[in-house]
Amino acid sequence: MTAIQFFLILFFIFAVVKVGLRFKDKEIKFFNALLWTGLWLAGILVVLRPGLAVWLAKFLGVGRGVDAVIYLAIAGLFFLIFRVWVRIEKIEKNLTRLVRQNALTDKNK
Amino acid sequence: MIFVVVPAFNESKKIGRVIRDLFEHGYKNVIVVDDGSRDDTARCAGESGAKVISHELNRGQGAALQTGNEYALQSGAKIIVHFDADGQFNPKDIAGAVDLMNTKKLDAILGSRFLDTRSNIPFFKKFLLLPISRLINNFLTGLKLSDVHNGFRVLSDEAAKKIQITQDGMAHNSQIPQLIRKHHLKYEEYPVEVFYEENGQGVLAGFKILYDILIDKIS
Repeated sequence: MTAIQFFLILFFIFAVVKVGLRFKDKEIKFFNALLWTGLWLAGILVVLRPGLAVWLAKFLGVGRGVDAVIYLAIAGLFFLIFRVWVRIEKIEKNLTRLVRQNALTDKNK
Repeated sequence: MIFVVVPAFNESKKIGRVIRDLFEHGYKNVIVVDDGSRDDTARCAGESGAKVISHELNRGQGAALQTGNEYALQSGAKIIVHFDADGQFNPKDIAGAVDLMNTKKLDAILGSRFLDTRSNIPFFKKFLLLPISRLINNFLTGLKLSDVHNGFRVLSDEAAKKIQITQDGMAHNSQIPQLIRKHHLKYEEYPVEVFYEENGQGVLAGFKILYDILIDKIS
């Protein structure tokens, strides 16, 4: 095992534990916990068996295994940013509604 | 009953004069929406005789206008005037705009700096930034207006009920014409005077207009 494999696996295990703790504290839903655990476990699998990434790359029509992982990771990141952005927009709108409600209630008291 | 809605953020130096001017011109129902100011805007506005509604947090000019509209409607407003807190508008323009609205039975009046020659618009803004912004805005909102992002408006109560401002920031300036078009409201532009204290400020503000329109489209 190379050093990068060791550190990546350590990081992924840490991430899985974190997901488990968040789920235990009911901070995330079961589906989200499953999704994130699956993602980190897939990471461990690819680190331990780099051949899987090569197979995936060939399947997707990309040259190298690492490239396939990077492309998928970038696509995933963009999707996550979009989701976070939508969530923030929603929070902003709700915040405005709340601030307005408070302001009008105070004035009408 | 005419209500003047003045959204204000950190305008303690100018808000008092603006409100006194409005009172002197006969407008008794002046609502200042203090949008989470960090200075004495709310106190100054209250002392000058305005009804003050306070946002606990700064939510933007669009959010403040919507709050003002809702309060005015709850208070029985028949006509709502949007008027800036920085002293750039002339209260004399309100009477003419309201007359035009009543005579032609319009739903909305939008102020324009370009329909007469009273406004001393900075050169760069007048001949470069505003024409470009106007083209983009007219294309995006579908309303052919001579001015862009002018905060002077007069709305009937029915129009104010239909125009629900959800763009909290400055992009409400593009959203309002869009909603006027969407709800087939009868509107006209009306010449208003805009005072510019320093020419230098106009350039940055002009860039902000372009930025707001683009953000409005992305969001």
